[in-house]
Amino acid sequence: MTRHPPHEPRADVPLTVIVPAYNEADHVAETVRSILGQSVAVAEVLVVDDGSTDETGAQARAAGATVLRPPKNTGSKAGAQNYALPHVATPLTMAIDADTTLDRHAIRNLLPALDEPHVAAACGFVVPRHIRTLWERGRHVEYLFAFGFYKSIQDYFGRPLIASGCFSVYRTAVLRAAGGWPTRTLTEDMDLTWSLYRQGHGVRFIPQAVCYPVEPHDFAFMRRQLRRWSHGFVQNVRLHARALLHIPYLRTFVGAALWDAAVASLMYVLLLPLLAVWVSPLFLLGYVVDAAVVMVPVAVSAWQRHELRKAVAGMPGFFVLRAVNAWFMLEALWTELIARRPLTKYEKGH
Amino acid sequence: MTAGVPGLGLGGLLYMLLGGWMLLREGGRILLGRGGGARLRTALKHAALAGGMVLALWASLQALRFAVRHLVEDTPLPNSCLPQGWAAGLPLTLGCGLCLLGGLLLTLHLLRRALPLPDRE
Repeated sequence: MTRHPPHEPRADVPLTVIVPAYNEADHVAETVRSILGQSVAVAEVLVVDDGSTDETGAQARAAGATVLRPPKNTGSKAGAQNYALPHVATPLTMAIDADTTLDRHAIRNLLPALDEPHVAAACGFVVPRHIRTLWERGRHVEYLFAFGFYKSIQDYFGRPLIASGCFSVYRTAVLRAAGGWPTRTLTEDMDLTWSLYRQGHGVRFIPQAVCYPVEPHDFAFMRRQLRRWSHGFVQNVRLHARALLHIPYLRTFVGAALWDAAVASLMYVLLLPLLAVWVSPLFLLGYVVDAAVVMVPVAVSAWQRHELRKAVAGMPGFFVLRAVNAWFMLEALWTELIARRPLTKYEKGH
Repeated sequence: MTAGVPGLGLGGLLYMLLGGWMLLREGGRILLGRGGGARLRTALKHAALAGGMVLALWASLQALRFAVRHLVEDTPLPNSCLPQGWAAGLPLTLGCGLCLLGGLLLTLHLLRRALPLPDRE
């Protein structure tokens, strides 16, 4: 390990930030600067240079972070985060992706959620940093819908489905007691969130705390991400299924998500094309029949963020992304539950 | 990350119903003298969103019904083959969704009773 302590800033909040990074030379400096430029000063920024072959470590160090470098690549984001956890000396730990920047007041807005003693983790609103390609536009609409409608309701009932791994704050003691970030599934954030619920802790979603990750801009990158997310979701359902049944509201949210992952996906991938060919092309309208319904919460969230035009322009991308997502969901359900060939290789992707 | 396939699936219907339920719940809290504040604002916002989504669903079905009636009337397919079922109206669409959602909730309830809580981690 090489550790290069930077200057010692005055900390306003007892919070250490962990940034796992693998070949993130293009983004990591901006991420570190956005953390150090917050309206409240954090105790330390730890960048885990997880065996990068580019200038990730040097860029992070130059931007003001402390750089940790494991002897070899840890194999996953969770592995890199766990490598840094013993170095945290503050009661709060924040996880942020190396390609994610923060709104200037994001941490200040997020921390009050942890004033409640039962809350062990809090996460924020995610908005793609770049909204240019079809995939980024689709993701923009998806996030406005999911974070502006679904997740706010989940938070009202005390059960946000996931404290997003790209930007969340945890109580360090609870995180350590849980064994750090779990590496047994491909989506460590969902696994950790559900484990926290199982242990009786609370999780909050704070929409005023906004982060901006770089989202996949092309199909190759999107494919890796969707594959990992889909498999991770199914792996977590399988891992936590029995316990989930005893967690009010969460079981309903997960049950509905699983139903849609299977049934809606089958409809998109199989039923609608067959009906369109054999019965009537009008059945293709099934892909966009809920456009107006989706647009209601999306338009409200976008209007609040002054992004209404971008959101309207992103609707076609949303429907393409949803159909592609349906394919990967089906593929994950098949390979994980029926073929019993779990995906274990962690592929990089936000 | 996000999970599932967002839109007007069972999840969409569930969250629309919860938007309405939040408002009823906050109304109850107000009657008990414990309401108001941020939770009420959240409930009002999501109930309004849910109402807007139901209206949007109704408008979509009307548009679909119009399309089926007027744009494809010359289609040489028997009526039973046309996707008129989709446009049969809001009550039918919501009714089917509610039945499915009720079935899902019942299934989860029965599973919960059948499978005891495992040891805590």
